[in-house]
Amino acid sequence: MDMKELHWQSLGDVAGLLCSGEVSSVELTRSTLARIRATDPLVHAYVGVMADSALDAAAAADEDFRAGIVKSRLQGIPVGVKDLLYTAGFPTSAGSRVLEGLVPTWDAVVVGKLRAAGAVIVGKTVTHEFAYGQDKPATRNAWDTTCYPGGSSAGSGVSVAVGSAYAAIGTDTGGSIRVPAAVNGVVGLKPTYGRVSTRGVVPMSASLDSVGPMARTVRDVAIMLGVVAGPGGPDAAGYPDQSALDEPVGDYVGALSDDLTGVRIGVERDYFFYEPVTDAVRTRVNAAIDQLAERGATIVEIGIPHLELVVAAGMAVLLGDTSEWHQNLLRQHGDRYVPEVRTMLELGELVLATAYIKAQKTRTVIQRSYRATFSEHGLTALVAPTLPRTTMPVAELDVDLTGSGGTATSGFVHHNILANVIGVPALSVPVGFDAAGKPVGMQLYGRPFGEAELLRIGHAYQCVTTWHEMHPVLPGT
Amino acid sequence: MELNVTPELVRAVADLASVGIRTEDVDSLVALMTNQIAMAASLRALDFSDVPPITTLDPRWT
Repeated sequence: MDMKELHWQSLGDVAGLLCSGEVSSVELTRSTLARIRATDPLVHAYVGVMADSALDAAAAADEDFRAGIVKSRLQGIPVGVKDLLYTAGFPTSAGSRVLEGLVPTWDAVVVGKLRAAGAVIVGKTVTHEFAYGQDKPATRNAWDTTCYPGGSSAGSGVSVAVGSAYAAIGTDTGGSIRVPAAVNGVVGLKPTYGRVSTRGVVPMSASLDSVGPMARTVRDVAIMLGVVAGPGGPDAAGYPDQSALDEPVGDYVGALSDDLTGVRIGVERDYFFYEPVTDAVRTRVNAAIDQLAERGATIVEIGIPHLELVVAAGMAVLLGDTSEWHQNLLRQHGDRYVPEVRTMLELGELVLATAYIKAQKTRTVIQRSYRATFSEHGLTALVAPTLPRTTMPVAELDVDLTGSGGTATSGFVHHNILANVIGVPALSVPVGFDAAGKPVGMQLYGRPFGEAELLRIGHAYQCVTTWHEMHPVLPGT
Repeated sequence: MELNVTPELVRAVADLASVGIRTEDVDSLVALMTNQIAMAASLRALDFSDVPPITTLDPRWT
């Protein structure tokens, strides 16, 4: 086995190698830890590496393999977890000095599910402070280390892109899984609201937050989702996990196919292909739509009323909810926040209750409109660019997440927050590069609990394209 | 009526909300609050009186 290139294998492929005994989990984990040592000085994807516990978990996985026990396809495979999720015995800072020194005594439900499945957690990945996406963390883009890595699940996206994890967990309140997936050329899934438990995850908004997987292939994301979906058990006080809905978890890998016959995909041009969408993005996403049609999908041009209200509704809720959670911390530790986050938290305190409720009503209107469009056209999914443009140098980054400022990041919110506002799943898939070699992402929006259909479409696309097999070159690695 | 958001207004509203705003944050907040008020105004103009808001309470004990 050529250990040097092991890090570029897919999660699904190394799962096969582990099962056949061609490689051990300890070897795989050592290889991943070496990859982290080689790449992280350049991209800063990890805030903490769990080398000792990872090697212990790998040894346990190998013991299970020897005993003929296979708990899941993730057994023995190194993965990263965003530093917003509680990890028992290992610091969780949410990227903030405010939580400095916090060492949880229990695992987030998702972390517990990964451990129970035999996965090897190699480290905590960098997040923007409290996932707000306001500050500029040390993490750098996998394809150009002068560029923005996306956020807030920056470390998760970059670790997967540079091969320092086979998959990673991110969180998404307004695009925080899909944005880093798109700008780093990997796959990211924001599941249906309630598909994956948020217990043990430092929150932004109780009704917008989702936890989901990121990986280099759609198949790998499907494997991850099958493990982390569903609620956890009762908490220490005996209360059920109400952060996830008790819907059956599908066979996401079994539902993958290279044939899209019978699939109907809507294209909405007014909102998602508006003027800020660059020619490079437009060209790549349109080419991808053509390839979906060649796989058998029916493409339908559609309109969805009220999309122009999405950002206003989403941001009012996001601002109010996030500021409420931080209310006491802001007053006690205001100086420990980065100034950009602090001002957003202060702004959120100023959202009027009437504006907040109006935003919640607007969400109902948008949800009805989206549902009616899907019903009218018999849609399986909606396709759009994940972002209006590719990444930009960090030095040129002008952050404005209010969505109304006309900046690049406000465009990111424009393209992504719909999935959070109405709770539907959305999948970002790499569909090529611009002339400067920066990745372009295509986004597939679905029906509630329609993850299997989105993964089927994304997988069919990857069956006939090779973008996901292209890897960034980091000097000296 | 268009509201002119000024540093004084931001400070006054922040006082009402009991937020101790730092001097260096005021200018950013003026810009952010202007955007936020504009967005709230775009929603305020709509008549959704017969629409239930998305707020859920699941009263089950299971």
